[in-house]
Amino acid sequence: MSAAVSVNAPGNTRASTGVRGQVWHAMAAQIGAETRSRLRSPSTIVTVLALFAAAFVYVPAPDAKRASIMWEVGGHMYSGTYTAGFIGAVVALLTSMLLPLVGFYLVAGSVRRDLERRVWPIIAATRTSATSYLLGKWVASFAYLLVLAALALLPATYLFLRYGTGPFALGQLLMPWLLLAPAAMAFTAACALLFDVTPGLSGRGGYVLWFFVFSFLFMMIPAGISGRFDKDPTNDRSTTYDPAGLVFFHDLIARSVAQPVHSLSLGVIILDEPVRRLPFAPLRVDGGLLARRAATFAWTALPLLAAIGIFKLAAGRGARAPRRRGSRRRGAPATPPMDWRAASGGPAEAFRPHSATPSFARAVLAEGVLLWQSASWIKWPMLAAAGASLFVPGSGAAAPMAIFLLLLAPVIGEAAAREQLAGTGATVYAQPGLPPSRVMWKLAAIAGFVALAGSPVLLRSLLRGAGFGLAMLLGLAFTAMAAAGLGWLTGGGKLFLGLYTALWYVAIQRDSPLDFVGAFGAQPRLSVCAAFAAAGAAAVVLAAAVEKARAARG
Amino acid sequence: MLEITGLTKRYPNGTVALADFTLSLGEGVLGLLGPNGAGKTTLMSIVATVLRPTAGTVRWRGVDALADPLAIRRELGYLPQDFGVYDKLTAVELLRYFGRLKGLAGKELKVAVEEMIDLVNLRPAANRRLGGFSGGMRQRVGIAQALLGDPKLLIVDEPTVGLDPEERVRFRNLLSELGHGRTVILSTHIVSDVEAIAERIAVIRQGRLVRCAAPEELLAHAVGRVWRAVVSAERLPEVQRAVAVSNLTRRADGVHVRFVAAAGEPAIAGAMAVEPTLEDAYLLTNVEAVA
Repeated sequence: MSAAVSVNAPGNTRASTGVRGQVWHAMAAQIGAETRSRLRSPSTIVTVLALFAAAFVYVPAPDAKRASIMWEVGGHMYSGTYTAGFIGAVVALLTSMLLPLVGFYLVAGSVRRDLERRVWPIIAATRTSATSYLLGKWVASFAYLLVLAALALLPATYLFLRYGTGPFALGQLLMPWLLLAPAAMAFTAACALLFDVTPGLSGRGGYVLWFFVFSFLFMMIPAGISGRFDKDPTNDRSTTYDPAGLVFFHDLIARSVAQPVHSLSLGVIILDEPVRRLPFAPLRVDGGLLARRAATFAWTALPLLAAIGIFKLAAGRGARAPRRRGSRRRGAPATPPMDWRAASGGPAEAFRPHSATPSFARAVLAEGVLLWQSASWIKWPMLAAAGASLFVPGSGAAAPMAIFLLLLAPVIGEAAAREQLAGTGATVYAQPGLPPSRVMWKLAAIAGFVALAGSPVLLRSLLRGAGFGLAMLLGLAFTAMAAAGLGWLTGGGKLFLGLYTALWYVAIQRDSPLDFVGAFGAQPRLSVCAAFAAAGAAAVVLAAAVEKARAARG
Repeated sequence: MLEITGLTKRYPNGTVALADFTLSLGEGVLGLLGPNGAGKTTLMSIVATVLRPTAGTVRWRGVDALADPLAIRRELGYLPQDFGVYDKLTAVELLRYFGRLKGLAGKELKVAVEEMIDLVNLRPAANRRLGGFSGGMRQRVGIAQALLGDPKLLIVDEPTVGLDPEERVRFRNLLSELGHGRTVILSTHIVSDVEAIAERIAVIRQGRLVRCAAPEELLAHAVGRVWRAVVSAERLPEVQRAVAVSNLTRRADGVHVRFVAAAGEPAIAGAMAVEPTLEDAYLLTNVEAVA
């Protein structure tokens, strides 16, 4: 019996397939790995459930006193009758508007994770090129988002069967989705990839920025260049850039009514009386429409190519010497010199005992200092904004307060999940200063940091009035508790950063009903601030319960 | 000082990583040897109080460490096998962070961190971000954080992984020094590391303690059970099935095979008994455990 190991000749291996074959194999491997890891993530289940819930919220009963989409014609607000075409268009628009905002957070961070966990060097050492690696990531993200988007068609069908009027026209129900969702998801996946590979955008700062980029790319630019929403129909232009389908939907409405449509309202719109509904014109698909949607899809190439270019540039930087910090000395060797005396068997340096007094306070201090050290450059404008709020006169102080609150989020957003993200759990959790509940340790550190950094903002609010001071205190407490609770529960900062940024945007609007710090209206709504603080506390309690359950499970 | 009694760990997926593991440790260095998946890391994680066992007790200086984890953590230095670092921090910043968690403060903290930097030979890189560190340099940072706070119980899991030979020798010497007046548990796959410094060696397999003895005892037990033979390449598979091969080298006259046989003279023509090494002794312990 021979012991020789059978080795395939190079010509017999799959690796010898042509260059195009290699690219496809590499991409297929990427897609398989990404899809498997995403499908096994609890966030997928949460997102599916949230999508289902959102579909039911956004298509209420026809006689309900609320609507999700309304338009203004001749000074009155209207929505559509529940035909197959209208329900299909609403579900398609909401999917392509809302899922990109949330879906970005689901698919972003994959390249960053590969880089941080040193997976990329292993992939780079294979035949996979940077281009096929990134294309694989994009296809996987695109497919994942598209599957999530497709799930919205199930409640759409159910809602038509329950509330719908007219014939069950499957084409009318599905066609809007087919026209809108692929372009929206492809563009989102490419933007996530671009953020992921761009230095400065691949982390917490990028997660906050996405909210604004999304508003700009998906709403403001299409609305601006199409001229659909400026009350002057002569400005209307055909556009090939409409990733969320806003212009597409506007044109559908315009075909349903005789007068010009001045505005389109999206969201949960509460009314005093049942919604006025108009017949909604059926969708007619022609060559022009198909060409415009195809062109919108093609816009995906822009962020995708930018991502590939930046990644190729950034990957080359790995060869450079790492940046020095805290030292002005130049020319020091990259690797410290050897201690040849010790290497030859001589004694190592004597070890001097240290006297340590571990305590909870010192552990909190350590975490607080770490928060400061790992906050990158964002901490400086954050502190400047907090300080400026003390000196800007009158209602102008609201602006630096808003900036402070926005920049606070990326500074504290990942603190609760730091150990999970960096893999330091075993080392950190074995330390003596930590209390039995790590959630409470994180909360104490984050709250202390927020209180210290936010003290100028708090002081300014107190100077405005005791009610304003209390509202700001409750708002800051909510922020700290939400960061600690959600960060711990999700093992990352994306959920907190996404939700907080969206809330911040709503809260800073004049007299917003969701002003959780009571700083942006004539009077603070203490009940709102208290409700937010209670919600933050609930997140912490839930996180502590999960921690306890995990500990009990071992 | 450290009493481990009846330790059992069953993971939620049903895997039994430790099964009724019992061991008593005093001062000195204990080498923990075992194949992959033997339960070494689980054992050390439980002793380091970062993992709870399904059953059993861990007592440190007479105190139940499972009921009162602080009793052990106050005197613990722990270097896990897979440990992360915060890439954006410098080595000094990370060590100060761990120093504070251990209860060091003020000048004591500053001095202790500086000493650790020198001890692990990282002075030229002390103020560089950890993101740019090589694997060996990160490992030295890990060693430094474990030594902060003068631990009386030092648990190090694969500490020499990634270190170059000079640094390995250097760290071995340091561990050997630290063994005086302290309890050191050293887990490694590198038998020569254990041989050089461990006063006792515990061999663990499938979650059970197979043997715990001084290296000399293990070697003495292996005398007469380690053999060498020259066989043809064709016969090699047959030999590999019959005995546990610890080393083989292809030469002009055939394949030189070094192997262990648990009992009696092996049925391989021309086999000669040879002086055992600790690696042979470890292999023999495993062969006997399987038998």
